[in-house]
Amino acid sequence: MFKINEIQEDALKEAINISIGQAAASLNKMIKEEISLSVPSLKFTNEKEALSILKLEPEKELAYVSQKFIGKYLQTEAMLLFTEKDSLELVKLFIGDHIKVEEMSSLGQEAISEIGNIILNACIASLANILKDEISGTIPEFYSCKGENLFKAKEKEIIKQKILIIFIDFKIEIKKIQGYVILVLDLDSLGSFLDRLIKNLT
Amino acid sequence: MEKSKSILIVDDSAVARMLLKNTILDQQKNWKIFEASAADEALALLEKEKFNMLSIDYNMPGMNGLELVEIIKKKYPKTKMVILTANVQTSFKEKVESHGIEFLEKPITDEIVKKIINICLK
Repeated sequence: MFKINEIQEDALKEAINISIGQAAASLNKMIKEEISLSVPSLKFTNEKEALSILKLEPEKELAYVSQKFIGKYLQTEAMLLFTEKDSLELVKLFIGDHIKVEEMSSLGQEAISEIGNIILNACIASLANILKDEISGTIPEFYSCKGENLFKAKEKEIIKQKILIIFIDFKIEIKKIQGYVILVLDLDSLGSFLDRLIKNLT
Repeated sequence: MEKSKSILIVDDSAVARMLLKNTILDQQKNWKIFEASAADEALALLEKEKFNMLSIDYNMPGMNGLELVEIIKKKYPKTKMVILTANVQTSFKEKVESHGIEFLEKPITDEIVKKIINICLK
């Protein structure tokens, strides 16, 4: 089984801290509210364990945006995840001044996709800058599902054996909105990614 | 009285188009704002209308923003353009600027819109 040493873990957490900080700054510009961030957590896991690690209830309705990113050193699926309730609160903060209440449902998915696009790209751009690499991304895709089905729709694509899941939760304190940024890393390319991070961070 | 300008927003996100359009109109009430959700749609509109400026997203289904920029530069060399994108990688910013195009970072804020307006008014 793939293991990472203390230096690799430290480099990865530092890189993720920098990149999520950039993503939070972008979110702050969008909604003009203060955002607090947790310390990044790294887990080698599989789909069954991932739910309990994220402390998500199986019955909870979730909304998330997913994008794949591919560069020379980094191949990842990045996800921005909320409960459905919190995603609607965030949409209100993001575009509430610009639309009528009746338009909220039709534009809600578009709005979350655009929020995901900005946050996930900000996060990946920081990693690309550290890696000194150009990383290309797919168009953001919106999904909604119950917690228990979070990774099932993607099972064939990304979750075959063990994966490294990196997650960080952020809170918009004043509105009690909580979300997660999740990076699912392919173990085949993890070694070269970590080597490059350590080389460029030290 | 200042002459009205026309801007074409090219972005696959309806929300991004709406936010940019509304924020421009908040600052320039008489300007005309047109929208295209893809590069092909933008090229079709350019056949019919003249625009002072285009704001172009990069990551769109079909042709990407820089491919669209290249076509417009050849067919409509006087048209001003900016790339407005969530892809804020330094290497990508440098690539856009090497095309002689202004690179603007999402999210869409009042400051970003002021930059777009200033470029359009130059």
